[in-house]
Amino acid sequence: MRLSDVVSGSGLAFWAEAGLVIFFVVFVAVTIRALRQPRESARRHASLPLEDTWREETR
Amino acid sequence: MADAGGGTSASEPAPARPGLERFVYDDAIVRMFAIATIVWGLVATLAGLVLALQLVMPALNLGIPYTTFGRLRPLHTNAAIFAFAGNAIFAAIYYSTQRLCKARMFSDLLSRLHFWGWQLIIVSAALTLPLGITQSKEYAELEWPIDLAIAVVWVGFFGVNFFGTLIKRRERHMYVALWFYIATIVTVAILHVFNNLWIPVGVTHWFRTGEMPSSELLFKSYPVYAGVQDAFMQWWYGHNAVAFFLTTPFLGLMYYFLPKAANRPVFSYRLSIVHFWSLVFIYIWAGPHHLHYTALPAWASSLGMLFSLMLWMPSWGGGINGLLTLRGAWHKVTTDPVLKFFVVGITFYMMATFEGPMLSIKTVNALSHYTDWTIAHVHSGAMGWNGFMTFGMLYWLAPKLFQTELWSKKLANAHFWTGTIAILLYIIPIYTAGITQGLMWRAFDATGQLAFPDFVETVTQLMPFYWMRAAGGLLFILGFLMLALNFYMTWANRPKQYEEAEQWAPALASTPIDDGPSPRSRLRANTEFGHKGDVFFQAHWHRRWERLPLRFTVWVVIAVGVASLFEIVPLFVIRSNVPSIASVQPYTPLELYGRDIYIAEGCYNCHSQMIRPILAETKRYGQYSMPGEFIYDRPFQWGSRRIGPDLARVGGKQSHLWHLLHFENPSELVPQSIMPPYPWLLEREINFEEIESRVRVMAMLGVPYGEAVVRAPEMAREQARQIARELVEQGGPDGMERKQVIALIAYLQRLGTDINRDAPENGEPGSEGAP
Repeated sequence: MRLSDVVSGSGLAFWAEAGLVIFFVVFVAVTIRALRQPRESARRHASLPLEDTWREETR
Repeated sequence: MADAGGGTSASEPAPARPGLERFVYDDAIVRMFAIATIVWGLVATLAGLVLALQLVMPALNLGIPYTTFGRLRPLHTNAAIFAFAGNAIFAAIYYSTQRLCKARMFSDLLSRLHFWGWQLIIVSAALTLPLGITQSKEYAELEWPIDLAIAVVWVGFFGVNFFGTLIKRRERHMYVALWFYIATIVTVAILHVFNNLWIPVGVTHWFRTGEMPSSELLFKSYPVYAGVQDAFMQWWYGHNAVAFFLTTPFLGLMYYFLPKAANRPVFSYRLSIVHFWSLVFIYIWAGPHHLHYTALPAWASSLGMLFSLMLWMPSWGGGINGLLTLRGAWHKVTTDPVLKFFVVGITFYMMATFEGPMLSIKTVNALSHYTDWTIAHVHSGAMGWNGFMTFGMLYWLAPKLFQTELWSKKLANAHFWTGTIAILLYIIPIYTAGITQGLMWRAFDATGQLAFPDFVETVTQLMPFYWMRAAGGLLFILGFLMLALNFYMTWANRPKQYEEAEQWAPALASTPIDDGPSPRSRLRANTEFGHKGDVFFQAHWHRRWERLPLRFTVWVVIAVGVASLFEIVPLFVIRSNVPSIASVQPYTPLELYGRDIYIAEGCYNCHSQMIRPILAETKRYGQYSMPGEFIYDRPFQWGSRRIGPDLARVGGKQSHLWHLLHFENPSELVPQSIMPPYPWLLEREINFEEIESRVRVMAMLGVPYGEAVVRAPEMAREQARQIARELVEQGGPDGMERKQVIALIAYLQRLGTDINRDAPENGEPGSEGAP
């Protein structure tokens, strides 16, 4: 008997489905968050690497 | 400093600015890491060239034990990953983190301890690996004292310094590059710790006997995992070392340095958020695709394949986000070598992350695994993605760090073209070699027999490709030398004293939080649960995390931890269900010693010990490997590549004398062989007395050694005398009973033979006094 046979019979197959469900929930939540981010806030965050020096007008 | 924007020189006293704090970026540490990147990158690529040449000229180790392929290959891989790429990501992180946080690094002392500690680790690796001091786990070969040093330097110096900087930052939002750095630091720490759980043999010897062990024993350790579990942990680590050492920090680098070089913000910040979480969550599941068709459970293998395929999404999303950052700036790519390196680097990232999931598809993997196809895949990622992103960053950094113009833009362009051609010259022949190898191994003739039954036939076919690969490697090094020269000359033109531009920014506590009002449920007629759900899906919480480093880190750990546990726990739960094979017994003390020689010589770099349940393999090597056969294998020796044939069932196939002559000079028995001679094995002596300590540690780990624990030296001597006698009967030399080759022959003759033996009377594997 091979190990894969033993595991198949041990009822752990649902772990794969559970993993997919967890991923799906996280993915949906993160996507919603990303899409709901205000345009202005996304623009400011995206330009952070271009500001090595603090500038008052960007606050 | 040109890049410092409105900063003023720190050497001149500046008037205080109310409400603002004064600080200066530490660029000296970035300079140190950048120089180390170039130095170690040259070492790594030179070692790679020597190895490439050894495949076509095996005598190139010059008969020296320390320079054989088996010992140098881990040196090459470790140097490329931890020395070259490692120093590159540290340079990137130290430069970008300070600017993204508007703060100097938390502690200059920790920065220096990190730098010198890491270089010391690299030097230790460069010394110990050629000496055969290795755990034999790919990319985790370094032995226990160096493992401890890595944990201290990574967590204690680097981690504390990085998170300390986040805490004292003056920019409220943590830019997405910082998220990738957080994921790198916490995940690499988790991977490193859990894949390096071992018992040091020399230390237990010292505690037990009060005597200092030999250097060979002092650095030796056995892992707490065995067989299938050890393989699974190793490739959970191995795959995610690629993910979290060679991917996430380089994505952080991309998200910071590409916008800088293009002078454009990243194409989509929203996409970068989805990219980050998807990648972090999915990557950790994909490790088992390295073990398709092995003794790993089928469900774990399928799960690894599925998540690998899902990786296409975030990988390409990130790659596209990078390339589209250049919208409106593509004209700059034609003239700017930095952007050229970045564009080709991201393109290689997309190609490699397309190919990786493709290789995880079981039917593709059946052909590609153990062949040079994997080597080509790895090098397109390492040279194209890691190499070119590093080169782009270094060319961009050089004028900033040395506060002068880049010495030669022409030379940088020449490096770009040399490097691009070099990568193609390297990978195309090796892809061809890998596919050729795979097809030849599985080819049958019209009578149903293997078309190439002699393994060495499949090796000689590859020689032209190996030569072309060496030429590609040489060209890549030439390009690298151009970078070194350019960097050196730029450094030589530096000002007498570096300007340290003074920066001003308000403390974080004094800046307002711009999260907006807390969301309220927009539902009218619903349950309390519905209202809570609506508030949750407005995702206000995520905006808070993005400015809370600790909470953000905790969630990264949860994402990585959940995925890891979902994969690892079932495998450990079924530990008691690994089908026992009654006839499988622990290695005898002499065989155990021989196995340790096999590990020290790095035989696993060329030989697998895993026969897959594929017709061509069972026809060539015999009965497929079963999980129960590996329960005493600490560490497992399945390997990942077949430059030579599989050895899982080599036991009893050749005489002792054949093995002895083969070790002395392989090409005498197999003229086309590319295995180097190992004459020193016929000269070096077995340390019988210390075998007991090895057996005792195995017994501590649960191996049922019975009386062998106290009689190990005596039993080993007895078996060595027996093999030496048989050797003489076969026409071999006399007086070999103390030589190391006898222990190695004992081990090889045992391999794969247990399933053909009679089970002991009580029917239990490893019954008392078994060996």
